[in-house]
Amino acid sequence: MEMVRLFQLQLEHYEKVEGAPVSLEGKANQLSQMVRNHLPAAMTGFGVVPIFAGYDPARTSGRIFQYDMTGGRYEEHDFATTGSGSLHATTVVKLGWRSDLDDGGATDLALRALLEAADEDSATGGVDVVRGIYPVVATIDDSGFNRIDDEALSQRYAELLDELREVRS
Amino acid sequence: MLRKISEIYDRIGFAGVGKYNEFDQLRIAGIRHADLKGYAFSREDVDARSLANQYAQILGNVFTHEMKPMEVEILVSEVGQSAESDQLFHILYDGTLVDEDHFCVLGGDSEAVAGRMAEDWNAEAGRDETIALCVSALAGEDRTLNSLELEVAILDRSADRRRFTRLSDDVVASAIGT
Repeated sequence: MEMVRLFQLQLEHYEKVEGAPVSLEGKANQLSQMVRNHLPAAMTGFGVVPIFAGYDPARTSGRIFQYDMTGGRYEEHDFATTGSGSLHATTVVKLGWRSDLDDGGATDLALRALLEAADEDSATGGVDVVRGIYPVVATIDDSGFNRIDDEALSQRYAELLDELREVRS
Repeated sequence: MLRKISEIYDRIGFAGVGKYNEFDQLRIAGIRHADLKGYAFSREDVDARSLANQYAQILGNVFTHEMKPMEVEILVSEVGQSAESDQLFHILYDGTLVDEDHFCVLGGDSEAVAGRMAEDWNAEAGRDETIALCVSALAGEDRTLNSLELEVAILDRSADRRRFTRLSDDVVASAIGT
């Protein structure tokens, strides 16, 4: 979280001083440097491996970048996952991904991927419907970053869980 | 176009006139001060008053200790929760700090412009109306200004976090009706 805060600060600072925002490519490179500088801490076990996704106004398309612990930057085509449960999450996304997914379909797929990852991997946090704790899910387009609120997520989770129960019965 | 007004922080804007390189240096120092403070403490701890004080200190020190004073005049503005808590700090080349109400005019012939502003000032006016008033006060009677000659930005009280918004030439043109 601290890294996210510092990254946001850096980008906002640049934008105000220069009077223009950093390009998406520039932001991705900046993050790469930051991850590289974090390597000593990563060697002691406190690794940070982010995903960076955004809408690139220069290309008028979305782009997604993945990193490794040494700051290596890899641009992905359609999707990316990270963390201990990424192996399971990737499989779910890979099987469910279609080029014509809309926002709702993509959200459902992401939730399903998290659900399966949490099921298989003890270090992946799952959803807590009792306390109403949901993952942070957002869509990003030319209008900006739009967080999907917990109410909408609880609805989607309810449908998803119903579906899974039906399959088992 | 070189810019005279700029965003400093969430609720704070900056305007400067005089020698460009000197007020731009102050502008960047202000952004750095605000960003560092907001990062080290919290975003709500960044306020225009402390920033204006810093500026006044810098300008006052330069005025008394350096070879020449900074040839600038700057304004630090902050939009509050309501119009009563809005703030305008006007800082002169020698570090004099003035807390202004409602509006403030910087630069050449400012008294005449301020006189014209005061005549028609209306705190209830909307955005476009106020812009039109400012532009006509700035132009005076025997001159008209078009949107390409103007740099206009607002601090939008209703905006989410970063209240500073630059207005495009089209928006300004429709506000002043040229």
